[in-house]
Amino acid sequence: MEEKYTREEMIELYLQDRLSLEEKTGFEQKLLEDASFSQELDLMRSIITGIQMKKDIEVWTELEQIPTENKLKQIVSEAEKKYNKRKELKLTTKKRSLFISVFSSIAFILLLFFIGIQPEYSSQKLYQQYHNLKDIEWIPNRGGILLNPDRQSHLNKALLLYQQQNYAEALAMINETINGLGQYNIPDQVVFFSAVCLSETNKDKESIEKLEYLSLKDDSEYKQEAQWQLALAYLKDEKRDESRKTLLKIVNAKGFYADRANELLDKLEQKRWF
Amino acid sequence: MKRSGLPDNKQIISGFLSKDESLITKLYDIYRTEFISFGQKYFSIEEQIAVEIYQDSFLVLYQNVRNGKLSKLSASLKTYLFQIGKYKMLNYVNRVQKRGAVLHDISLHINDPDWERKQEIACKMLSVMNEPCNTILNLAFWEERSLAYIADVMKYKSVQVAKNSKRICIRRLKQILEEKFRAEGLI
Repeated sequence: MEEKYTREEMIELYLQDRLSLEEKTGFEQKLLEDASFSQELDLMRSIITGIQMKKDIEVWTELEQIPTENKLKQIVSEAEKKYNKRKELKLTTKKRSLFISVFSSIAFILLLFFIGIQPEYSSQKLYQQYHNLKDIEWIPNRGGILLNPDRQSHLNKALLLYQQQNYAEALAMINETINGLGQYNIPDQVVFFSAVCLSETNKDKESIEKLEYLSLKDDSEYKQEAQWQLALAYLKDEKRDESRKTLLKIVNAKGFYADRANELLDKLEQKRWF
Repeated sequence: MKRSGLPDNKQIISGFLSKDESLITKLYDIYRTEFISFGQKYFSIEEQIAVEIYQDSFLVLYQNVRNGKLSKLSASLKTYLFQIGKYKMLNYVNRVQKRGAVLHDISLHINDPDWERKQEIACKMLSVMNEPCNTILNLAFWEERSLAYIADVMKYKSVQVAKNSKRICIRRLKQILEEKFRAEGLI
């Protein structure tokens, strides 16, 4: 007990009724055993009571000087006012805390909901998963629009560069091939591989334009490839809705890419939690 | 005697520290929380009612002081205030809640001539006490303020400085009082 408080502190705390029951019992036991302790307590009690008495006399004198009851009422009501202000302050703080906690809860739920309705797979992830150039075989043109020998020579070089995966050079050679030709005089094969090279060199918008053109051409032998590549190009360009619409067309057409399109559609629709 | 519920925000503290504040206001602040807790604990009255009774008790105290019904020094103002309050709370409970509550009068009067003389001597000594001891001891034993509060008011660098100052003041007072008490054969 004495380790926690000094003897003087113990006496003060005892007189101010601030000791625990256990401490108080121990203290009173000491009082019985030690007369000097009791004397010290008596002195300290005189000091504390003396201070209170001195202040009481001062208050008493002040009370005597107050002329009317109304004046005293005014003093005590003024004294009470600050507690009311404090209460108001507490209430305002409580209201603010309640608002903040309700708002935070709603925001948290909305955040969870927002996270939950996010797609399980990102567009880029799906693009990476399904993008495979091995699926696309550049075969020699069979019939259709014929090119003159110079252009055919350029095209052959472009084919070679494409096979070497040098898409930028291949694209340049394709452009040489079709230089000066009208849109309808360019073979679908050239348009298609031009679109692939554009996509591989990250010229997505131009690639999409060419693929859209081909995917609408019912008589083109590159229509199915163009539609599939278009669906992927949309994904790469973060256009999920356009990609979804294109995939639905592929599924409904029940062509070569129908199964893959169906699978990709499922993944596109899949949400993270809900 | 504990007054842990005393206002502690800065606005109220600055109110306590203002020099032109009356001692009555200070007294009002010092016993308010204890009075309300007392009413709630022993008479189960609501806080607002306890506040009203507290204010009425101040008025009765004033009336008794003015018409000489109370004699100085026979008991502390706190004792008077709480005695008045207790009767008022009892009346309220019996009137409003129709309970037959009985008040057990707890008189704190001490009828020991030696004790009264000791108090008189202590009171006189304290009345002529110099600063900073006067303020430190008033804060510590009338307002029952913490050492941190005292350090703040006295602009001490730390609580330890306040603690040491308070100890020095008490020791000095004890020494003087002991001599006086011995001189009068009170110890």
